[in-house]
Parts: sequence; structure tokens; C-alpha cells
Amino acid sequence: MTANKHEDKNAVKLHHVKKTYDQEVVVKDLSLAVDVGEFFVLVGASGSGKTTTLKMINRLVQPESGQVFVQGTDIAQQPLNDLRHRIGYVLQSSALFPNMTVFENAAVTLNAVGVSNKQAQQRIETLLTEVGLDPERYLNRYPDALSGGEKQRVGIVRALAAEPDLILMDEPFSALDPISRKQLQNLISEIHQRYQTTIIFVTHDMNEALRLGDRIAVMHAGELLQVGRPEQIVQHPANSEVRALFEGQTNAASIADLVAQGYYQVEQQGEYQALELDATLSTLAQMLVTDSAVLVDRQYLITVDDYLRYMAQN
Amino acid sequence: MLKLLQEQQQTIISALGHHIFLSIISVSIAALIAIPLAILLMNHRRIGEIMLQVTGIVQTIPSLAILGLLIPFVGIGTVPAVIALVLYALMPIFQNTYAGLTQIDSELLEASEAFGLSWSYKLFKIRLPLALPLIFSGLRIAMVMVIGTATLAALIGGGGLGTFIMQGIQNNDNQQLLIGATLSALLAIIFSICLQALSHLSVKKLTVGLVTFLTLGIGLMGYQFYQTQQNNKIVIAGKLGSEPEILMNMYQELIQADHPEIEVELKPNFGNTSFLYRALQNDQVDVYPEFTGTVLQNLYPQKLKSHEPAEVYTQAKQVLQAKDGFTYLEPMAYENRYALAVDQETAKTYHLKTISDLAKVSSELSAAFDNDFYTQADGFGGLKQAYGLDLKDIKRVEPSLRYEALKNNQVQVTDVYTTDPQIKAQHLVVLTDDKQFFPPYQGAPLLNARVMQTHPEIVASLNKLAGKISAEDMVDMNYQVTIEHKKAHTVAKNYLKEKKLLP
Repeated sequence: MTANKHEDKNAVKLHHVKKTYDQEVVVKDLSLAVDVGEFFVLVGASGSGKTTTLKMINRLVQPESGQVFVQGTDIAQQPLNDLRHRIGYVLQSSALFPNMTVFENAAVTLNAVGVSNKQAQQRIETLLTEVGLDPERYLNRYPDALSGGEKQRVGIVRALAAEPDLILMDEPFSALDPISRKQLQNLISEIHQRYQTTIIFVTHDMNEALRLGDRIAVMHAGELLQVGRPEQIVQHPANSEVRALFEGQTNAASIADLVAQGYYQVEQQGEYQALELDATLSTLAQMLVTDSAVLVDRQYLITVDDYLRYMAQN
Repeated sequence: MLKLLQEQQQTIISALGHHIFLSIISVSIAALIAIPLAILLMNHRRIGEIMLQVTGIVQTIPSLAILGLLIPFVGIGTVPAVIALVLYALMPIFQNTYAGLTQIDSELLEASEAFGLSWSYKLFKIRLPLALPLIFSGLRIAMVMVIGTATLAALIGGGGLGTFIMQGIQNNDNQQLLIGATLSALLAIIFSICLQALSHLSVKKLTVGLVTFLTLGIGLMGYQFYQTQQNNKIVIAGKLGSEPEILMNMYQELIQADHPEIEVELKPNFGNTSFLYRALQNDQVDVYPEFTGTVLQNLYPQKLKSHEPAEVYTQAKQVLQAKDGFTYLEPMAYENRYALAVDQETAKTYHLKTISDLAKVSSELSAAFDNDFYTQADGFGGLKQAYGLDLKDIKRVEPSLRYEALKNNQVQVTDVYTTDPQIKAQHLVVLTDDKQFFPPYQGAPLLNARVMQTHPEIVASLNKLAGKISAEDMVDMNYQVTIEHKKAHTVAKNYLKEKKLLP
């Protein structure tokens, strides 16, 4: 973890950073390097120090000792707003400004760096289309008129708009319903593949970490327990704590994935067996052997045909 | 009521206009102080909390005290009224703006930080717009409050709807009171609605509008203030009502007839004697007509050495000279004090000319008295003893109802002021106070030391009124102004010409 040699390759490097709040150490002597283009997930329970670590990268939190490098430059040595213009940020609550339209919200950073309105609009329209929001319908809406999932899509557009070197995401999907969460997880994966932008993603959801991360850093009580690829962490946990956290967690698809991709019917007449969203696909398959359809989460009717089409696609 | 509205249309409209001006300018100035202050303190919570307390305390100071304190510094009229109103408007605006700015969702603030937005962008595009609904509710509270409180401007000659309210209270005229109160309530409602409508504009438009308006308003006020500060001219003021206004106009005419080069400014309708007196002490006012009785009963209360008008005048003159170095010129002929009056029939039937005449037949007669007159020691209580009055029945009624009672012959005697225009309107006979029970109230010009130094020549002009104007004359002139609604200026000029005091 002392990645001193390959500074060029590092999008972000934390070097012995430490942070204390009210005499309580939140981050203890932490060193970490994130490669350029990597989808890096910081995972841990609440209070593990993962959000504090994230916020030290765009200086929302000032480390009390140690250094933070972004693209090889010590961030304490550069103008604050220059740094922040190059770093996209997505918050848990989406935090769209309620007094601004979708366009105005998405264009704040573009505005701040002096991009013309016309150029900004082109860029935002493209991005809105990419996150599945029709620009014509959404550009001039106010956040009040958006669903939770739609808000967070705009939040992602806002973070991407100024073509940042790096995007920080602080539990962006944890407040969403399971279906929207799956949809947005798929969306951010696609976006990452398309743009190859470095993403540092904080979550307390181990399943989400396994699904999304190229690499995962597991944090506990202000310390890194393990950094590695998802399969390394699951198969070779560094210690019993990591093992406990990831016990029974897989990145295997659940029924929510199937629903998220639209493989279900809305017709609900008749009597069906019921299933919850977090049930595994194999449970669903077993039930479909005897029944023609299963009612999931009291609203999504999944037929044998839906199941087969999903399996064929993925 | 409708008749009164029609007759006084112009006065009402100008008072309304002035009231609106006072209110808007005060709230605007308060906004321009309170909003930037709240912005300045939004990141300094401790000082912000202290300021909340301070503006709250200002709110609790009685308005009369603030006006009294301000007169020595900024004088009378519009300026001190605006200052007082601004002080009152500060709290709701500051409190709401501060709350609006500090209670913004912390995630939104974090987002605005994280995107590297400039200070001004964060303030004008995010914080202020988000705080705007609360700011506007503060402005509305302030506006409604100020429109109500602006009626106090009338106390110091600041004009506005308060003039009607004060006059209504003074003359016991409910219609005037109602006009003043109703209009100010209506105004409050209308402005509240207007502000609601404005709250949908952008921060930029609002700021530009506010600044433009204020520049104009303060410019206008500054000009007025500058004008009153010019030492060259003489400021003549007067209390509320037609009589002081007629006298002021006479003073002006007499001075300018002899000295056309002297500029004279009139400031009518002071709702409060002690404020007017303070204005004279502070050279904000140079001359005003005052009564000998008021000097010795209210301004510098002391025991009267006698009820002989000349002696009372001398006593008042000495007190004023000794206390403030004021010059009290020779008084006019008439007095304005309490008296008893009867209708003409009663006077004829019982041969009544004096109160002593009345005392002889008092057991056959009933009276209707104003409550104040009845309860005061120097009112009916003392009078009864001095003359041995023993009336059959005494009703205590609203002043306006007294004349009804007289007309219907339910009562035969009532109390009046000796220059009350109702004496003429109701054809009353005033009974002479032959035992001089009532302290005399003679009117005379009161001059401060400054004007005696800069314009001693006006004394000769003003003294032309000494010993002139009988009570009948004054009743007649008051009648012309209050009942016939002639201009005080015209009435004053006509009288002076008739008496050959003007060429």
C-alpha cells in the first residue's frame, strides 16, 4: 500500500492521513492508492471512517496530518476551487438545489468554470439521454417533480458534466428503493465503462461493493482491513472481521436485477406464490418449475418467459 | 362618513400617500440594513444570536420614548419618524433572513462547497433564493407592523394617516378616527398581498428594485432634511387642529408682509405638545402658538398666583424665559378654555349671561357633560363648589351626543371649549365665567432664542395680533375651516385683511 513508485498511475493517493473529531480518532494513519480509471469502492459499517476518508479527497474535510495527492499533485498546494472543479461529487440525498431546474442544477460546475450556456446545454442533453432521462421532458423541470431515482440520475449528470478526472460518490444509492438501486448500479457501471473516469464509491452495502468495485477497500474503525479485488476479498478474507462482513454475500444476481431490467408483468389477476425482492434467482427458478408465474414484492409478476428471457440476456 | 370622505378627499389622499411613502421607505431601509447584516453574520452564529437579542430589545422600547430621544438629534417631521420605524422593522426582517440563511439543508451547502462554486454564486444563486420565502415573510411582518406604527408620525408633525387618528381622538370625532384606522388597516392588507406577489421575482431583480427605490427615497428625504436644516428661514409650527393652523398662517402672512425676504416654513399638525416644545428647544421649530394655561399646567406645572389673565400671562412668560430663554409675546384677546353653554331658548327663558345666573336656576335644568370635564378637579367638580351649582340631572355622554341631547331638550346645559366651532353650528350661548373659576388659556406666539437673535424684526409683525381676535372671531374662523372646509390659509388672510392688519 505504499505506492510511491507509480505516482503517474495513481488518480488519488492518500499518504498517512489522520483525522480526529472531538478527541475521537476517525481515520488512523491511512494510506491508499487508487489507479487511474479504476472503480474503487470504500466499504464499511457506519462510523468506519469511509466517508471522512472520501471527503478528504476534495477537501470537504481537512486531514490533520498526512498528504493527499490527486493526479500526482498535493491538494493542499493547489487552489481549492480548481481542485473541486476537477472532481465530481454525488451525495446520498442527491442534494439538487430546489430553486434550480434540472439543467441549472446539472450545469453548476460548467457555469463555475465559464462554459457558455449553449455548450453546457448540449453537454447536459447528451448526458441526460445517457442516464435515461429525455432532455425535452426533463431539462426544465424542478427537482420537486422528480422521483428519487430520477433525482440521483441528475446528480450523476451534475457530477459528470465538467468531464472530471475523478468522481466521488458518497453512498449515492442507499436511500433508493431496491429496484431503482439496481437500475442505478447498472447505470453507473455502464457509465464507468464508457468514460473510464476514476470513481471512488463509498457504501455500507457489501453486495453493492462486490457488484461495482474493480477493487474494494474494507474499512473498520478508521483503519483499512483489506484492499483487493472482489473475488479475493470473498475467497481470501484477510481476517475474521472481513470474513464476517462478507459472509453469504455474492455479486450473484437477485430477483431485483430481473425486475430492474424490466422482466416482469403488471397484470396480477389470480392467485400466485409470493417472493421478496432479495430472494435469489435459484429460489425463483425452483418455484417456476411448478408455477407458471410468481408475484414478487406484491407487485411484479414474473413468468417463466420473463425468467428465460432474462437468463438469455445476461 | 361618506360626506366626510368626499369633503376631505384631498387631505385623505395626501395623508395616504405620505403614509405609504413613510412605510415603504422605512421597510426598505430596514431591509437594506437587516439583510446584509444577516448575510454577514450567517457564518458567525454567536454574534448572530446576540444580534437577534439586540433587535428584539429595540422592539420593546416604546415608540414615544424613541421619538423623544431622537428629536434633539434629527429634529421633527419625517426623518425621526422614519428612523423609529426602521428600528422597529429591523427585528422581523433580520430574524427571518438569519433563520432563512442558517437553516438551509446542510447537504445542499455541502454540495455547493464540493462543486467549487464562488462566494457570490453560493450567496446569490443558492443561499438567498432558498431563504427568500422566509425573508419575504419577514418583510411582510415588518410592513404590516410599520404601517400600523407609522400612525405615530403624527405626534411629531410627520404626517400620514395618524393625523386623522390623533385629530379623531382630540376632537372626539369617531368618523375621523375610523377613517385613519380603516385606511391603515386596508393599506396593511394591500401591501401584504403586494409583497406576496413580489416574492416570485428573482433575487437580482429584487436587489436592483430595492436599491433604485431607496436611492430615490433617501434622496428625497435628504433633500427635505437639508431644507429644514437651512438656518435662514423661520419654521412656524402648531398643534393639531384648525385653530393652530389658522394662527400659523396669520403669523406667516404678517411676517412676510413686513419682510418679504424672510422665508417661512409651516409645520402643522403636531400631535403631542411636549414633542413640539422639545422641537422648539432644539431649534427645529422657531415659533408656535401656545396657551398661557398649557405652559403653567402642563409644560412647567405650578400653582397659579391668580386667575387674572394678565397675571397668568406674566407668570408663564417669566417661567419660559427663565427655563429656556424663550420669548413669549403679547397674547391675543380670546381664551380657549372650558366653559358652560346653553342653547338660545334656555338663555332667553332664564335670562342667562353668566354662570352665576345659571346657579340661581340650576335646580330646574339638566346637563350633559363630557366625561373628562365631569371628573377633573378643575372641571365640573370645582365649578360646582365655586358657584354653588345644583343641577337637576347630569348625563355623562360622548361629546358628539351632547348636541343631540340639547336639541331634543333632554338637557339644557353642556360644557364646551370657548372657541369650539360647534358653538356657532349649534347656536349656543357661552356663559361668562364671572368668578374666574377656570384658569385662563390665552394664546400667544412663543419664540426660541435662536429666532430672537437671527430675526428680531419679526416680533413687531407678530405683536400686531396682541389683544386682537375675540372668542367669537375664533369660533367663526374655526367654523369656516372645520365645518365649511375652507382653507386655513384663506380664512387667516381674510381675517387679517378685514381687520386691516394686512395691506
